[in-house]
Amino acid sequence: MKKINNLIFVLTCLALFSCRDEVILNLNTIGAVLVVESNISNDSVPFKVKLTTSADYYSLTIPTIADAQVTIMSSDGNLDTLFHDSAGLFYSKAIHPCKIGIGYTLNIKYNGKTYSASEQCRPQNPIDSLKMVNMPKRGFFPAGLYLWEWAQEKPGIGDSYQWNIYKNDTLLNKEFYFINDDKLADGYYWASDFPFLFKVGDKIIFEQMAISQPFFNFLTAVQSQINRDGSPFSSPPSNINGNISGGALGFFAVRNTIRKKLTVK
Amino acid sequence: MIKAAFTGLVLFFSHFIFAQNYTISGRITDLKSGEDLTGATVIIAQTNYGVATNSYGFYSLSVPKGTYKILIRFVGYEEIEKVILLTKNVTLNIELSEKIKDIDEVLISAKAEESKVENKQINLIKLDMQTVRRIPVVFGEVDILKTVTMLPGIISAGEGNSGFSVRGGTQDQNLILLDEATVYNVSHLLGFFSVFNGDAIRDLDVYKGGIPPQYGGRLSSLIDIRMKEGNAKKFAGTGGLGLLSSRLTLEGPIVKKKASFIVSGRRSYADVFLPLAPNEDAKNSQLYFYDLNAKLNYKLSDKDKLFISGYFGRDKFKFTTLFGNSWGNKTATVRWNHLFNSKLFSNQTLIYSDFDYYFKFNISESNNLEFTQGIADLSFKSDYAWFYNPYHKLNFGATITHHTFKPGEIKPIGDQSILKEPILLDHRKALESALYAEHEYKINTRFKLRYGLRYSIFNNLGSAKEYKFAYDSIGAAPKVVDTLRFKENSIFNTYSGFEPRASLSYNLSKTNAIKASFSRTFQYLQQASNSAFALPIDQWVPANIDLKPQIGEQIAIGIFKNFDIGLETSVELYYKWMKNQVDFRDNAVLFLNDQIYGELLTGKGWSYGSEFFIKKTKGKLKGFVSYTLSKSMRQIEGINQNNPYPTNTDRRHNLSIASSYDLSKKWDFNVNFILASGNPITFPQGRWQYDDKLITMYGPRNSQRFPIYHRMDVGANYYPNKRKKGRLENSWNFSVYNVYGQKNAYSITTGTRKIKDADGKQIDTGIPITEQIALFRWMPSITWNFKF
Repeated sequence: MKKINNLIFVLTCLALFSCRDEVILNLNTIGAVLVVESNISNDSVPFKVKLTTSADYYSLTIPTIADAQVTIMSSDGNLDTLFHDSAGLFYSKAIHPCKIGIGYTLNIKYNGKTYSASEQCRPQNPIDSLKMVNMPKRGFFPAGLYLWEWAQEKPGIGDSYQWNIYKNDTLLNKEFYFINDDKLADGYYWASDFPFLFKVGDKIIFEQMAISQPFFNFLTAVQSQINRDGSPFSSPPSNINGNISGGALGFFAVRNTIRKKLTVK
Repeated sequence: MIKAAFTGLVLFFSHFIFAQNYTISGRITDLKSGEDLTGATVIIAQTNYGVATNSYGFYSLSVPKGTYKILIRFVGYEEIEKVILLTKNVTLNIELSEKIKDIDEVLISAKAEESKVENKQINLIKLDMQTVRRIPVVFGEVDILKTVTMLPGIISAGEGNSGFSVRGGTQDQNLILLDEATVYNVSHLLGFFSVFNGDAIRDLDVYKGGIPPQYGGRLSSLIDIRMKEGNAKKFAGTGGLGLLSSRLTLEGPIVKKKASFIVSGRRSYADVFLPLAPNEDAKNSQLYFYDLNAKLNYKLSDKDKLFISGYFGRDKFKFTTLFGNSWGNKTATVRWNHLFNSKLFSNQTLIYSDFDYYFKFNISESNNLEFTQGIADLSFKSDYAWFYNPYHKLNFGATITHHTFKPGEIKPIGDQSILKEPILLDHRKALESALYAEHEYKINTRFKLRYGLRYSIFNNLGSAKEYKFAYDSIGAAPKVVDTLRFKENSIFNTYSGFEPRASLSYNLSKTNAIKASFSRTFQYLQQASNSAFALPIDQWVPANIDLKPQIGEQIAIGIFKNFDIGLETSVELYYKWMKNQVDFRDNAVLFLNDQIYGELLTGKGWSYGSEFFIKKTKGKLKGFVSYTLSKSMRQIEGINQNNPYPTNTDRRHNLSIASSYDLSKKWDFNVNFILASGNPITFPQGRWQYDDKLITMYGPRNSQRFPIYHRMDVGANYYPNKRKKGRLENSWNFSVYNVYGQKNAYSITTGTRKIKDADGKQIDTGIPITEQIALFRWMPSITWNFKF
């Protein structure tokens, strides 16, 4: 919706000979705050946690953290202490792919403060089929081959999903999130197309991740803030809060992923 | 003390105890067009007591038996004197003829009556279309709301925006009535134009406080706009051709002296040029608005008059087949004036008002939908005015409105859509009713008192599904803990309250008066808007079990002083307290959310300020200077760490100057100047990274400001054959908006610097920047106006 309003806004402005100038604002600053990112999934890879801090608005770099104690405890009894590798990245030594229904708790000790967060591994929606469909020209999208997914959504509201589409190992939706919850389509048989054009020979990786509702809300807020440009039609600026207690930013997320590979024929 | 009280009491009752009173009453109309004249005065020369005609040209004066010299006066019209031997009730209908001298002289002398300090009301500004027409505006389109924003105590929501704030209130706290019908959205083209066509409007009253008890439902202001009635004597037309839009008005008698009509239409035509655009997408797009005003009035008898008026306006925006967007207001008013007798005047009014918003997007076979939302009102009002005698007038009546709120309906386009079935959010229904009474009392030539009471009631009606919410902390996402269902037409929730209103006026001398007022207002509906500008998508939500009505109290005091050289001056001070002010929690979900009440937070607001106004009405140079010093704050738990913050409408300083200079009978020139504090804004104060995406951190809400806003507009009117009878009268308007090209910040946006590489491809450098957008520099316009 906001995009539509922004589009109207931009068109109207163009029509009205607006002018745009870069300005340097005299901004107040806030001290550095811890930021957490995580990669916990059902993949057979070590747990990964990235720790950084916030920076001044016009600053060109984001500081990373090496001297923190990071542990992840699961409700089925595993305790992993993560080690710092480089550039703020912490990994577990053991590999414990996440299991449906199991809870995971992150604990961080940094600079004399303790931070923690918990998430659960969510059940997935089985993919019925993935197909390439030859589509005619539609609006912005030229005619050609597009990826379609068919799947049965689980009955019961509260399921959320995230998708990543790769073409020849490049993430196509790098600039934005493909996310959805089942609020408008609970229990339906889904048919969705993805707005990327493929050609014969392209190698596609399709990832569908079951995520929690709070993480969906967090990604929605991130997405809307990225789209937010400060025009008078934007919503008021809001700080984005994740699920980490102790005053840290970011989100400790657990993703249950289905991954499919196909080559366009 | 007791003696003083007794004397006062005797004085009070003596006004009621006339030996034998007779009444002179009637209607005052324009000789040429037959239109009712509002605000004409009927004065008894011997006593200097008089009354003014109401919006329907009606007056009533009750005095003891005797012989009286009666003077009838009105703006720009010849004064009439009548001698009446009063031995029974008399009906005296008067037709006044326009002065045919130089019109400017006429305006000065005639306005003298209206501009007397004793006739001025605190909190109220009356605007006639002559003043409005002289103010240069962007695109040369006469715009009453843009003129309103130049008045003291009123600020514009932003550059090129029709929205405005009155004494620090929000935009949805303004009650905007067009012939008594509420207009829910006043913007065309997202606010660059207002929905009111200058040619169809007769006049308007702007109440910044002290709203008469007859009106209610909004905290901040009443903008009472009345349409013209149509020429009852001859067929006439006016119109204009502008750069962006054109308009045409036709009026005339249907049955001579009995019935007349007026029809006024307007359409923008920027989109007419779109098919010529080189871009295929632009060719298949639409961007236009139109509106139509119509009014019919019929004199059924000497005691009965019927008015039927309507407005229909629409905005359309379409970008290829991908996006479509359209919205508009519809209003209809049927009004019956009836005179029970020469003292009791009544109005029965049936009103319909509707606003709807539609959009669709059709990005792909599966990714598409159509969406509609809106609000519809059906109201009935019964108003009475009892002209007891020249000292006492009683206004009383009742009103009832049935609201239907349509929060949203979405439908899939085609059977491939990911959305399989239409989704309809339940309509919300409510009744808003009120009883009121008001006494206007002229205690003596110095003291005037006006006081009254309004009792309003708001009922939420079934069928409805309402939620009870719980929160982990205030401002956190809501969790539904209970769902309540209510039967069709059941009243499941009620709010009500007394709204006292009072004003007092004391004339220190003939040119000097002091006035004060108090008012309490309730507001039962609000617009769910979380951007600085009101948008058509912003839905109206009623008070309900989760949301209490807004309550506002305001005191104001004003000093008015006129100078013989044609200067009118005033200073008004006000303080406003507001309860249950609504704001949204951070990252609120407003769109298509049937649990929207869970996203609302409420708290208190307060604003105060002083308004200075100087108006020059005589001489070749005329105009006004208005300056407001004000502050508007809010404090809501869950927002800004519970600390008070300035509202979006907070401006410390606001100066407007409007001037016009009559060079000759053929030329006049106009200059405007505006200087105002920048809008409050929440700027970024830091950033962090997540998933390689840069996320902004914000500091306290509205803690910083846009740069100071200033602008000058110039205009000129040229009348090639001014006032030659029997010819097509025409005039040219030339104007330049923002004549020195000031780059005023329309918005300041955040983003990253993008550069072009050798192949012309855009690359995002990831370097954070802030950019300022400025609109409307050196905007010229030409309009040709005609009249026959």
